[in-house]
Amino acid sequence: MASLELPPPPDSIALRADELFAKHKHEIYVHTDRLFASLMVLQWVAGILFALWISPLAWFGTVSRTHVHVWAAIFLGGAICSVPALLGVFRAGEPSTRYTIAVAQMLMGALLIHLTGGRIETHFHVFGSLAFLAVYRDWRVLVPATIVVAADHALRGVFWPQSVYGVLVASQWRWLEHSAWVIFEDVFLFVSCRRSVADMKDTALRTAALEHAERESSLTAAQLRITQQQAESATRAKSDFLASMSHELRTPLNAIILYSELLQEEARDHQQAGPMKDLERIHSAGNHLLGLINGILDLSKIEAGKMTLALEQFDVRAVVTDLASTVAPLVQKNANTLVVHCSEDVGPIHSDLLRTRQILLNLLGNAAKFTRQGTITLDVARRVEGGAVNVVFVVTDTGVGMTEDQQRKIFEPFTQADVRTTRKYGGSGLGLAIVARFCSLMGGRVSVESQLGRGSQFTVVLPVDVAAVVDAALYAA
Amino acid sequence: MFSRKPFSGLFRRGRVWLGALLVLWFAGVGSGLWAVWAYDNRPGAAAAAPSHWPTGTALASNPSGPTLVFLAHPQCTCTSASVDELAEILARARTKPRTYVLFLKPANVANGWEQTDLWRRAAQLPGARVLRDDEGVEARKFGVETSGQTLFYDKHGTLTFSGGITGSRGHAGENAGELALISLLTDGRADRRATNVFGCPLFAETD
Repeated sequence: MASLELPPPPDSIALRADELFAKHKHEIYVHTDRLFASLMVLQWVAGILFALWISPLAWFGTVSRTHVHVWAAIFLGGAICSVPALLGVFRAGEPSTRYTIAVAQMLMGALLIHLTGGRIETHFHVFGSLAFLAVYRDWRVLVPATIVVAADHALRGVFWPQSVYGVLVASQWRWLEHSAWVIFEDVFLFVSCRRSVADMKDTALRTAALEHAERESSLTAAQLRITQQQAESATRAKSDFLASMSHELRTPLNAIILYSELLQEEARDHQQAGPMKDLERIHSAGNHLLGLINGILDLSKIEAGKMTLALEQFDVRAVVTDLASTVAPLVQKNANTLVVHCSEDVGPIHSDLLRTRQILLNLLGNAAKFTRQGTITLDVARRVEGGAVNVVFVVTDTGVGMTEDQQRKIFEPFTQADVRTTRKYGGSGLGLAIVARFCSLMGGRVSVESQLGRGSQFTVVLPVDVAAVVDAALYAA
Repeated sequence: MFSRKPFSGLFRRGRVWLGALLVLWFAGVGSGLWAVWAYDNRPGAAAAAPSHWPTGTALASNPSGPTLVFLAHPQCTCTSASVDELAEILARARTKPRTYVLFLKPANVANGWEQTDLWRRAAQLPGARVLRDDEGVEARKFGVETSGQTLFYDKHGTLTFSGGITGSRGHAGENAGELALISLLTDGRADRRATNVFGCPLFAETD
């Protein structure tokens, strides 16, 4: 017996969402650290190029030397960029790495502004860097970056105010004005970071819920497969049991029927009228029971996949004529009239004669059983449907008919129109189930149309050449 | 007795080392930046300009208005910012001064040495007379030693302002010298008469 792991409890969705969120956040940190590591190298090279382009030499009359800015770009720029770049490569994802990067990025901004002669355009490096730092989606990295910018302005404002504010004497609080603009940008970046994090959490929760649903769905599918396998196995076991039991029952039953016939003959020979009625009842009950057992046996064989077809070529008209005479006593029993219309061109059919006869016998027998003082019609014709050649048998009666609900269930085994039907008309409810399965076995189909109180019409469509339609494994020579 | 986390001590020690390294790094690069700022803000030698228009100069003062004399080392990259600020002053001044821009041409350099990008940009300044100062004769007459030194003489030939017009070495942007000159050329008065000058020395010690 297969066993299944129970689906995780709903709490696990929240736990899994936390796990997914943490993983995604870490991936962003690692990825952004690596981006900044590359940017650090790029900025270092850019700083050297700026210095070489803008101020390569310092002059003293006719004597020149390499400008201090070039050495600053090489060594100071290298010192600023190297540590965060190394951390970005070797300690990507760590908080200390991104805070160091944030500080270094602002220091590099200060250096680049110097190297480019304080150009206003280079000041955009500061604001661009803050925006780039927001890629971390961790607003905390904005804090050290902002502190560095504020400290840069505050210190230079104290010692060299003209280099920052353009005046020789500035208010000691002027650095706050500059910092306020940085904080102005920080506010938007803070909101952006918070929203991004909220989106990430939402995405993580949705992903976790989806994973949970997929897991549950796959478990349900597996459960269904197992249940189906168990059901099929149980059906096969039941059919095997019924087949063997039916076989075991038939043997003694045949003996009972045979002996009842012999006793009837003996009673007739000795002109003993007394036991005759009882013997007839035994014989009739035995035959009824035998029919029932035969039905169960056929159905079981079909369901167990053990039913085989014996295909042969036979003339449909001859079969129909023979059947009409066979069912005549049954039809007349309820004062019914049998009308047979068999078209001239119906021709031969390559099929299982016994099964075909049984299908028609069951249908005609049912029609005779449920019709009183009415008409039973059998129409037989050859018809071409979608390139396939079929023989169509239509059995129509003017009997009790069925409701739509009854029609839907009529081909299920042990099902009759309703329980009163069994009491009133007898029968096991196997006849139409067998008809449906035989039709299916021979590549055909059966359908019903009926009106309660007006009668029923059963249509059987069988292929002219069964072998061309059904799997060869189903029939035997 | 075993600790529950046998490597926690190692990790803690690693963090301490990393923290110490980062503090050292920050202190190092901070000091470096401080040194660069200090270099950029170290002024050059101030001019000992004559208080009245010097005699013997080849330049003619403007008897009807102010005269600006700007002395520059043609190769000095720091002076680029001073030329930008001079352009700013001339653009914003209500009274247009007679402006001389003198570029040093030492004796021991090839002809054309002074014809740099600075010269070409100075030549585009409105009303500016760009001249070559052979061997720094005029610079010496005006007592100027640092590139970017700007002198303002009024119509009477009196020195009213002497100083640099950048906030620090090669640093563009508003500054005290620039504001003082704009004020002089607009209102005829300024809150200061001298500022520090930032630029290359016009003469080497051996010159």
